[in-house]
Amino acid sequence: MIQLQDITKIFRTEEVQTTALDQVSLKVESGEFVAVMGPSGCGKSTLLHILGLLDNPTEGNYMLMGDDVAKMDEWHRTEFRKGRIGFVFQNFNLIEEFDVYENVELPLIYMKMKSSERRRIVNEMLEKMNISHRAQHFPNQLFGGQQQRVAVARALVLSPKLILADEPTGNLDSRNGKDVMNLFTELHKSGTTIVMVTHSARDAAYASRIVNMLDGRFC
Amino acid sequence: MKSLRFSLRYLSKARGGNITRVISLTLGLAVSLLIFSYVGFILSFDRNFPDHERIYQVWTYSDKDGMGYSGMLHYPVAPSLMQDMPQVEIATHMFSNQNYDMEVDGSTFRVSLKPVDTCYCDLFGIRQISGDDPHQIFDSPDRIMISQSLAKSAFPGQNPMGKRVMVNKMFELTVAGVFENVPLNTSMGEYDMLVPLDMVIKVAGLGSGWNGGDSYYTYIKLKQGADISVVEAQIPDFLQKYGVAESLNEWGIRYIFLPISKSSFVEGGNESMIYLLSALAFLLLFVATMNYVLVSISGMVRRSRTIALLKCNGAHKNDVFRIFLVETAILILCALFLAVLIILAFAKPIEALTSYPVSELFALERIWAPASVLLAAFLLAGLIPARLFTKVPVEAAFKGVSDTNRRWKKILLGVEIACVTCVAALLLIASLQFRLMTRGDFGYEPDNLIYTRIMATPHQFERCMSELGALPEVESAGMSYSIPVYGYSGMPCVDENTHEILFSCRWELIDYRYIPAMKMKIVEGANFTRESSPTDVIVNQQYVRQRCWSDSPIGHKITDRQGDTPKIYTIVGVVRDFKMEATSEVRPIVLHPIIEWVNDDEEKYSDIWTMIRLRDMSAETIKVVTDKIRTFETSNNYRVSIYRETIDNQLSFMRSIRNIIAIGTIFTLIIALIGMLGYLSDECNRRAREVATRKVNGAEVDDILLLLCKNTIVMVIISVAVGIAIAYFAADKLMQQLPTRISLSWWIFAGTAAIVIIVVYAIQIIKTWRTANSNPSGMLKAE
Repeated sequence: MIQLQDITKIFRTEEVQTTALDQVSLKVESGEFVAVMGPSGCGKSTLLHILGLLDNPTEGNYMLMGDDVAKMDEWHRTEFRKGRIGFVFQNFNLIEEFDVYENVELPLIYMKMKSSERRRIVNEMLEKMNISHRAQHFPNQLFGGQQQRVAVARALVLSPKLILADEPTGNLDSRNGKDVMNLFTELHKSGTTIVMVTHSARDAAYASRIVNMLDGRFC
Repeated sequence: MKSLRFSLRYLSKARGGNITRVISLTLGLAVSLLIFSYVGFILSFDRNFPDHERIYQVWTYSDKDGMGYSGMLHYPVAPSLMQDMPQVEIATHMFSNQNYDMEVDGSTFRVSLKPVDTCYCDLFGIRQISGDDPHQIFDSPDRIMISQSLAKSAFPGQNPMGKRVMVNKMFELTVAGVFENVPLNTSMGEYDMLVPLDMVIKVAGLGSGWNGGDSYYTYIKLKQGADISVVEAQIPDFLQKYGVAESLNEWGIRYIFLPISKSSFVEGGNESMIYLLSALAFLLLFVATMNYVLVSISGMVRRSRTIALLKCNGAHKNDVFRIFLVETAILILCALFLAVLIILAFAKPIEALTSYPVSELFALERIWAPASVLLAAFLLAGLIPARLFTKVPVEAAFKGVSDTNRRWKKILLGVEIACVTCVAALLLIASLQFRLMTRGDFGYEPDNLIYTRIMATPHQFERCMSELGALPEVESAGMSYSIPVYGYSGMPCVDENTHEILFSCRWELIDYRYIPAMKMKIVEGANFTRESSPTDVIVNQQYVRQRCWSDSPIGHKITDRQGDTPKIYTIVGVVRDFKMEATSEVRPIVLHPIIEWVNDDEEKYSDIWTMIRLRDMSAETIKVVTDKIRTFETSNNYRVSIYRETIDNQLSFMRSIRNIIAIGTIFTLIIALIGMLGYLSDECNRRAREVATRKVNGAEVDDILLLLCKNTIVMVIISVAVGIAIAYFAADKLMQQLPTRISLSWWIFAGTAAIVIIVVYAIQIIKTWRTANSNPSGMLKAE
């Protein structure tokens, strides 16, 4: 599924140059659930951005689902992401102006699906996530756990092969956090590949493999 | 469709920023739509005539003595051009429009009549609704055509054909045709009645040869495919043939053929004013749209996560770009709706301001003008934020973005301040210029003055004048052949010895009461007396200057060689320079005693202006004088006019320009103020933590104010300097085209710059005062 080889990411400003990832190599098989752990500033998020095609590496090779994606331009990266990668964020990142239904529908719109098809898929997903009764609510009318369920629903609505999660329980209480992690476990069992960045050893324990990072390298 | 949906969703949520943006756009659109539509209307003048591109007006032009362009030509020019030039399909000439009272069945209507020849309707494609052949009508001594609207008002429910009307209580005329109302956008002026030119020439005793009476506006229409340059090339031979080449050459006069669509722009710097208005409207639109961009960019930090999320979920840059363009389009439509409401609500003042109905300014055939404004607003307002938003990185979904657009915002605010400075300086210049024209030194006292035209014999005049003078309400009264604001006829000033033409001067006939009545000042010699000789003349100071005499001008002889036999006059006095038309510069003038003219024939009726200076300008006083005039046994229909109003009417275009600039300036200021307040709010929020930290470390309120104000000082100074430079450049160019103009003194620009800087910093201090006085712990907590 994922094959990183000697990936380096350097951020340059006028005054300083920071190496966020230093010749990192990683292989993730299809259906794996990998947790990436490490202290703040170790490069976890940068790794996740590169894995999710939100950013290109400065150097190195990246094969994703059999394609070389390391040097893709933004247009191709966007096209590649569509339907293949789902994102779950620590702060949920629901669009405030959209209601629950519209937030979940968003990836389908950009897949240019017909309205009736979109309606069917979104309703099924909302049912599956037990939030169909909240379909017309806006994010600020939901509790944290409900918001994260919506975010997960949006990430899953196109049944992506890869889920990238950035501290998915970071803003949740333990009960809601546990619910989310149980959801990920179910996804993992159904064959979805998951890469999760976390500080929490408890959450990492749900993963099939844990990798640790320090100063831009795996250790 | 999805772009529309996303845009609507955002707009329905983010009300505050949208209201600010819509207000800016509404103000900008309301004024720029109005100004550009007005400009479009002015530019459309004379383009309604069928085949207008083949119609040319014939002008004379001379560089000598500031003579410039004149549309007044000799009577035979039009028929001779039609006869001699194979390229000319048809030619016509006409006399200027005249306002008179028309009586029909006891009702009086004020009408504007245009004396025209038999070719007028053919050349201009005047649409006849009913009546006889126009050739026959204008070949007759007493038949006329009236407009559709006059037919409706004067003959409601009746067929006007064959009806008799009395014009000016003197001429009984028969309606022989009705023509479709002529559009307002024509240099022909508004008129309700077409009358035979030859009839007017006969009644008024106007010249109709090559040797005098150059009073006719002349137009030609070329044949299909003909080239005007071919006509122009034949003009020297044409003038030679009719024996006028030599005299015209002596004056440096040549014939110019200008397309009729340019006729409105030949005189009075009108074209410059149109450029000025267009520039103002563009500036205003630019400020409004830049303000929109400024507010949009200010909201970028808040919206970047949404954009990044859209991108995470599959949106391309194009999708984001489209969302913001759609959003801009929606807001522009809202602003357009409000702008239209504002324009409709202020329709009456707008009509008073522009002298044209709003429906005419926004007529469908000139929809390109408002449409261009909307397109420009859409592109200016939409493209920059849309482009910037597409650059929001996808990672912003994870970490947000910091405010990296501070430089952009500062530049935009700087542009707004530069625009405000520029229009404020132009407003000050336009106001001073207008003041100079209306309230400047005319060389006589135009207030408390009324005038009327009296047609009477010399005896009747004397009686009228003595009766008027006896009224306690009247301070003094005098007679003249013309009045200064209407301008005087020209004559050559020739050297008495060499007979060489020295310069062109103006002449006027006045009686001995005229100079005191006008409160003109004799600076040398004496005024005319009741016993003045017909060979006495008074000249103005400009005439004396141009003659370059080394001794006193009193007693000098001057010669008029215009007639068959030269006439010699003696200068008896010099009058202080006075302005002829409200907008013209001082010209050399020779004043003759009117007695020569009215005494020509004791029984002859003369049409003479009577200037009456009142002790006060109350309605009662004017009524007393008017009632008195009506008792005179003369044949005219008296209509008293207020001299100051005549001057104001002559300056109506300038006044409109001044007022439009004033409105533009106010609107620009409001829009820039909105932008500035938004910028300052952002800056206060952004620097709240810094301010709090400084306060914790001992900074006082004035230190904080200074800190926040220092941030903009370079930008404000540069912007004000740029605004002043543009205003100076524009004003300098425009003023060169005005005959009477103020000097562009340094204090105008320094004053404007000082006012703008004071206003900017006053607002800044008021706005940042709260931040400077806030509790630092609260700010740190909030952060």
